[in-house]
Amino acid sequence: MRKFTIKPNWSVVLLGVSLATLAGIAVQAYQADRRHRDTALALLRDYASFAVFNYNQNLAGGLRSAADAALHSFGPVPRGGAFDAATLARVSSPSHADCNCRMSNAVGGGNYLYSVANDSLIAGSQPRPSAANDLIAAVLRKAPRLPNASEPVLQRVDANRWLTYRTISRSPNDTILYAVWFDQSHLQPVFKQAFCPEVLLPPTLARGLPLDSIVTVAVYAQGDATPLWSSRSELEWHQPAEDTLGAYYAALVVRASIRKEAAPSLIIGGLPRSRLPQLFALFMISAGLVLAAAKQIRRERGLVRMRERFVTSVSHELRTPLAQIRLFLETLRLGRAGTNAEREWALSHIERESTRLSHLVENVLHVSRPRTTAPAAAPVVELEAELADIVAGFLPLARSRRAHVVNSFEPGVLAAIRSEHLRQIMLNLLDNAVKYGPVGQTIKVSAKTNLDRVQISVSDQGPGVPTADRDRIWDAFQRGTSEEALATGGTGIGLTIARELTRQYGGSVQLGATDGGATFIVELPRIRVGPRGENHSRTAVQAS
Amino acid sequence: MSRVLLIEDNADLAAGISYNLQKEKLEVRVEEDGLSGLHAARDWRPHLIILDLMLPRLGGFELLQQLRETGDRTPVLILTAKDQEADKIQSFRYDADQYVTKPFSLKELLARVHSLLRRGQAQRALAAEPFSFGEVEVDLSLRSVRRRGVLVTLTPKAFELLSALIRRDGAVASRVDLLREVWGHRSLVLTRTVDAHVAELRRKLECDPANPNHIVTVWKVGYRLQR
Repeated sequence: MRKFTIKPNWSVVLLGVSLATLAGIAVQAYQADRRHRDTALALLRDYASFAVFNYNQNLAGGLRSAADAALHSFGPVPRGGAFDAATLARVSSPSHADCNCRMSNAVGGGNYLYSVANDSLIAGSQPRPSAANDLIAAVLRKAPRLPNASEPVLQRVDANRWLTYRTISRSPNDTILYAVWFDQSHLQPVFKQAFCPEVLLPPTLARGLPLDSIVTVAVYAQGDATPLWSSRSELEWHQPAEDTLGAYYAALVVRASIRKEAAPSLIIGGLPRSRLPQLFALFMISAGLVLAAAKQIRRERGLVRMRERFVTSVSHELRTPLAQIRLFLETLRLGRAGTNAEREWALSHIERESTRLSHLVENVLHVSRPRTTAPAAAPVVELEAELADIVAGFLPLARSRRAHVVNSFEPGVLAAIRSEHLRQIMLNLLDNAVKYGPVGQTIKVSAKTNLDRVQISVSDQGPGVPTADRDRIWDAFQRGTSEEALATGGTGIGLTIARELTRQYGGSVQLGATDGGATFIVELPRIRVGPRGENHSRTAVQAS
Repeated sequence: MSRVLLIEDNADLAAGISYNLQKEKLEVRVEEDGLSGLHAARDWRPHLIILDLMLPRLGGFELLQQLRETGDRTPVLILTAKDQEADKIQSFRYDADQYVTKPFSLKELLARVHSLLRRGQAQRALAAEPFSFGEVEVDLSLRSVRRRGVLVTLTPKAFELLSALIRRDGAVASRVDLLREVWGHRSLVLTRTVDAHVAELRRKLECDPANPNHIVTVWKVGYRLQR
């Protein structure tokens, strides 16, 4: 029964703690970096707000002056709004020749007097009735009645026309609005004039840079996405600030932002760049290092376990033949084997187990020796004779599990390989076949040619190699994971040795496909002998 | 003739050991895998089992555990190439009697085999004699219990518990020892289980179960059986 216990691995725990600490530091660094950046951006927004505030002051003053000038065409406003005939005539005159104000000269513009009580125009520039008069009356009807009567009010009529008016109380029951309307183009100079570099940002903040290169300002009508005016043709908002002029100025919206290119000049040390990529890269590198270290530790632990397993397996594999040798030797020494046949039987066991032991020792020595390159010169051997000899030597071991070995060797097949290596390869494959096959099975060993290759195969009648184990059986110290494999003794090096040795001769060993049992196929380069016995393909063997 | 069951998957080694045991006038049966070994242990009722640990189909530890859990107390000699301390401890946890590592001395193995067979024989002799205390008569070989000549029905575990107390011949048995002997090593069973079965024995076998005269509690230790 196998018990699983969790052993604390302090190295891995420390690595985990260091990784967690590193993650914490990375998060803190990221947060500090972000705070720094937020502060810098907030500063840019503050600069933009400052510019908006100043622009608004300028613009409000400019609009007030312009409206005053426009309304000046009415002349002095009579007390109580009692406009005399002359004023009314002047108001009604479409030419406004006597008016020198800017706005009232607007194309299509005109002057109007509107009585709130009568809800009608008293006088207007256009002949009555006219569409323009109706429009103006409709606008004035809805125009806000603001508390400060002396303050001119700016009101938008439509997409291109604006209206400015002032209110005056004519009687307790009536209020007169006197208004001037004008084209939108007449607002442009006012917007532009308000964009005064010296005032928007003081020189100490602007650091001597031209205002155009620092700040972008645009004026919008309420609810419009297209600006009425902007300081630049291409608008790009970066940390913008916004403010609205009062109701007297049609609630115009002013938006400003510091240009991205100017930000480094305005902020000491420049606008901090995001360090996230560097932090992320640093974290990933560190995490990679920690993972690599953890993997290394795991690999080392695996190697230790593998070594322990190997030592245990070898110890078990050595003890089993030794136990038999000692048992039969003692049987003989104590005179317990009475007859010659019994003595012969005991001796045959000793001989066989000695063979098994030497084969095992040979395998272990092979594994412990440094890896060698291909042999300098491999003698050509005739496989039929060599294999028959190897199988004959193996028969006593096969008999221990009552296995029968059937040979089928094509005559005259040659291969370049040292006999002891061929023997080691074959003994490993035969030993596996006996171990993993059932008692009393038949093991088939064959050798044949296939074009320029020689194929030697060993088939058993066992359960075969499970699909999951087909790759790992070739790795050193690895054994099958099936119950049968685990219950069967073995060191886990036999197939590794067989593969290494065949590769030294330019060959391969692989697991073949069979209906039942396992078939291992060794392939070696074929040696052809010419009519006079010369070797034609020897060079190919050595090259490999 | 004593019967020895040898469960060993290495046929040659098994043949060698079997040959030598037969020379000792012992009847030997060889099984090459754990499952067949377990069946043989139950059906053939050997006097000694020689058990390898690495076995196909059913491992040696599992075999031993299953054997002990069913109350089989046949002496077991572990014969294995495994020489790790953990394996030895595991074996003795499952009440193996001897642990011999390969390669082994033939003379030593035979001596151990004979020792275990002798001990088993003594225990069987003890079990064969009827045992009585108070009004109760127990025949371990027939697994029968009579009180005033009337057959008393006990649960299998209660009978095993009674047998364990009888085997001690008046000596004190701790609750843990009784647990291990009767229930094996199953973690779900508590020492309280022993108390419950002792109560059953007293109820059925004592004249006054509240003041028992024969199945006596030894304070803070366990129980003993006094005649």
